[in-house]
Amino acid sequence: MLSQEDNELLCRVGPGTPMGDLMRQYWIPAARSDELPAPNGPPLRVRLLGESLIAFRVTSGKVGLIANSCPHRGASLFYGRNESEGLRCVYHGWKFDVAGSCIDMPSEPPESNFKHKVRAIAYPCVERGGIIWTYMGARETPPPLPDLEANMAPECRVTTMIRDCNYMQALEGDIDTVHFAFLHMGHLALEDTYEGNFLHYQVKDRAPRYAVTDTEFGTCYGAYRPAEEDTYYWRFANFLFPFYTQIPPGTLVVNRGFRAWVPMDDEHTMFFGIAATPAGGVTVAPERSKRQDVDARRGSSQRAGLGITEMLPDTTDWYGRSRPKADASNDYLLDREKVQRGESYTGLPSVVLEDQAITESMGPIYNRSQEHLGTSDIMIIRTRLRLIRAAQALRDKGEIPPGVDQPEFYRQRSGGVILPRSVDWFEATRDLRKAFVEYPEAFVLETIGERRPT
Amino acid sequence: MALWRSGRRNIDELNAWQKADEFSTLLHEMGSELYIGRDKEWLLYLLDKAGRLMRDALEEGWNRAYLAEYLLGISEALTFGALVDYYLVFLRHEGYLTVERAHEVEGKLSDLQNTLTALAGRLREDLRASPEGTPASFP
Repeated sequence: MLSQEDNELLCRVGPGTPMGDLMRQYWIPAARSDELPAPNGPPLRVRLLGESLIAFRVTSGKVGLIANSCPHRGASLFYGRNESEGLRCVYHGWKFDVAGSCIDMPSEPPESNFKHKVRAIAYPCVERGGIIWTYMGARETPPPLPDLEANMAPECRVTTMIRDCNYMQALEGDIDTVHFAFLHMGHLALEDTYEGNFLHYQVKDRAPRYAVTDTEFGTCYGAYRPAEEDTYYWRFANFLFPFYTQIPPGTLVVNRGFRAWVPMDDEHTMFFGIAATPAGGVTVAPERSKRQDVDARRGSSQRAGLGITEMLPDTTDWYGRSRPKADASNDYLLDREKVQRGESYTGLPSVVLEDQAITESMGPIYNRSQEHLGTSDIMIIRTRLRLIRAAQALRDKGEIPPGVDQPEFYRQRSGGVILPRSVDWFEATRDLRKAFVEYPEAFVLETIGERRPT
Repeated sequence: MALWRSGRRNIDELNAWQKADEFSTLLHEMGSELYIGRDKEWLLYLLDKAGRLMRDALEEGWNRAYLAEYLLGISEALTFGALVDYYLVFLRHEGYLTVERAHEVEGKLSDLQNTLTALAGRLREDLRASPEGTPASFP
């Protein structure tokens, strides 16, 4: 439950809003690099924090992100000509470079100096790890990029998907650990799991206990359940300011990944999933079910048991990028027969679409004044409070929010681990939760209880 | 009796537990004074429960085999404290709590959280020094 006032503060991200101002303190993923594949190629419509922007890659390869409306007469620069280090408005020929400077104004007399007086709103961009990052804040010199391990790995995978709802309800799905055992794995029985496997413990006990703590980067939770007689199975997950998550599936010491819930505007979010393979090539599968393995042996299309999320071709619409075929208009391709057959808890095509359908079903901006959060929702509660208080502190006292000037705060990992009951959960995992560390396979197996599914 | 607890007192003699117990009582009293409408009665139930869970988490941790599990109990108590914190913000914001009452309850919560955080810090030091724990720093 949240008052309407706090809910507005939490969810609204446009220019001049407290949360929008907070987010503008940070670098923000604007698009995938491969969405602008070639210099002088077609510009791209990008909605970001309630602003309509045009991204373009100029001749030298640099990326610009400029306000949609030409500062001359307001025509859309999406129709602009991307030529020779700048984007030219086709209405009267005004041309802008990546910094927003007007570098040509052929409609004015040659002796006019007017072009030097005109600037388009433009935000600096850098590229790293397949992402175009932008800084929409007020600083002359932007802060450093966050040290997010997967984004700095030699090889990483970037996936994107639009979600038709506010960023916060999408993000809250990631830090709501209990839903995994119901929404995604509710159809599994204990006999579908391998004894000693993480999934076994989750299905055996679907109501874990929690320890949630504030951290320098945001919030962290450890959810624990009994594993063996003298051990607990722990799942760690993080929220990192202002909209990143690291989710608990997988193995703590192996996971390299993070997720970004980037607000396009108050009612649309672009999800960025970034994953990297460990440098040592250590791979373990601590959360496989017997059903998944049967599917795999049959060559089933159910990729890794997580299902397939088919995507539509991108369009040039503001909301036309990274859109799944299954959406609210077709009930997310719900197949209730799959539920009857016991193949799925929901009948939805994939784990991703289960999250998508459920969070979108809450409405464009969820009205939190009507909800009933209980003791298993404490990570959500804690995270909301941190965000709200940080936005208030910035608004009222000019306090810079966490991590803006501390890129090292982002060197974190999440995932599962088996711990003896005799060790302090927080201290024992302090080093394991740190990013940029490689571990030998034997150690990795030890952290998952020395059991490897066969 | 686990090694780390050998010769130690009962939980109800410990300062942190006493504060948690007092806070639980305070929350209960606050709940019985408030009228926030039937549609929000669940909130008072939850606050009352969270207060009791803070105390019970300490007690449960204390009764487990390892010092680390007592620490875990303290972490859980702090976690339930976060739930109380969140709903107090709501009650104050919506005008259900007077400023004085809100200050009183929030002050007690803050004091309890500080006590638990400090206790956890001391116990962590003990645990680092001796994994099975022979704490020298019980309040």
